[in-house]
Amino acid sequence: MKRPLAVAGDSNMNKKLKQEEEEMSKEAEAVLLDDNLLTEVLKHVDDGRTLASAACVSKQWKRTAHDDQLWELICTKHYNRTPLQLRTVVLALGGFRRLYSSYLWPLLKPSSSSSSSPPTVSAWPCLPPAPAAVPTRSKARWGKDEVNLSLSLLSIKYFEKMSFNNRGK
Amino acid sequence: MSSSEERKLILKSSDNEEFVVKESSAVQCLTIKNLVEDRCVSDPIPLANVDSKILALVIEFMEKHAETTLSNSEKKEFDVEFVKKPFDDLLELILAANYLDFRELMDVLCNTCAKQMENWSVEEVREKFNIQNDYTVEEEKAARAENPWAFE
Repeated sequence: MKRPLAVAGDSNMNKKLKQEEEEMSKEAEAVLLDDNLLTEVLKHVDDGRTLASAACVSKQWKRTAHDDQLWELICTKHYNRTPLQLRTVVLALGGFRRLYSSYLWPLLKPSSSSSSSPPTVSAWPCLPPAPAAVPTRSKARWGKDEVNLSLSLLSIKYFEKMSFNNRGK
Repeated sequence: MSSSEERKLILKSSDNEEFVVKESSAVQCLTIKNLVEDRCVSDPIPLANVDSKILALVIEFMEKHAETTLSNSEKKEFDVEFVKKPFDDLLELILAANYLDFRELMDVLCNTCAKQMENWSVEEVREKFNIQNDYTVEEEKAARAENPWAFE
């Protein structure tokens, strides 16, 4: 039997993995979630850190946790009805996962004096420092304002890159 | 209104235990509802993917949520107690709820698992979910490095 090409090989790999997983589960009597069920569980995660660390659990989890729709759920949880254009714009600018990790998270994390502040924040010295009012003990509280701000920052960065590319031409 | 409230169904688990349930409760499971509507109901209905221990739990949840006399907050209180189970049981319940297409149970279970995950490290998640780590040391380092803020 001919081996399939690398491109089509993914689905075969998935099948093989699933078979192996099923075999493993029969032997060890461990319950293993497939991609769909895993997505169902991850849909209920509303903390970006949890979703990001989920990507480090295994390759299957990374694939699933990188689904932009899951990140969209986290970013838009404060909207009753997500504005229709929001998804189009965010996807064009790099997706919700990028929005969260590069722009939303730096706004949300407690403003400590740690030296590990991400470079993105310092790239805009004209911006006021992250609001000190964000409670540091439990989860950061955030709303549409933070999302809108991070969306603006995402757009600015995108257009900065664009004009840089154009200048080089 | 038909007499479906008095109609009973027999559900048979994978280990051949039979459970009698009210049809009105059982149709919360869309898989069963479809069988009933398509008049494909055999007697008993075999559920090959659900064992008796899990089926009993599903039926407990199903009947509680079918009770019209209970308020939503009472049902929520029940849910909170219901999910206080070993994590492996929760995972098995998720598989069963998925197989039976029981949305409400799925939501409660997935929400519980997700909320518990928030307190766990990567290793703990692997252990609880029975995940084999298929990353090499370098690959895992690289994966963590993609989102270092998640581990601060």
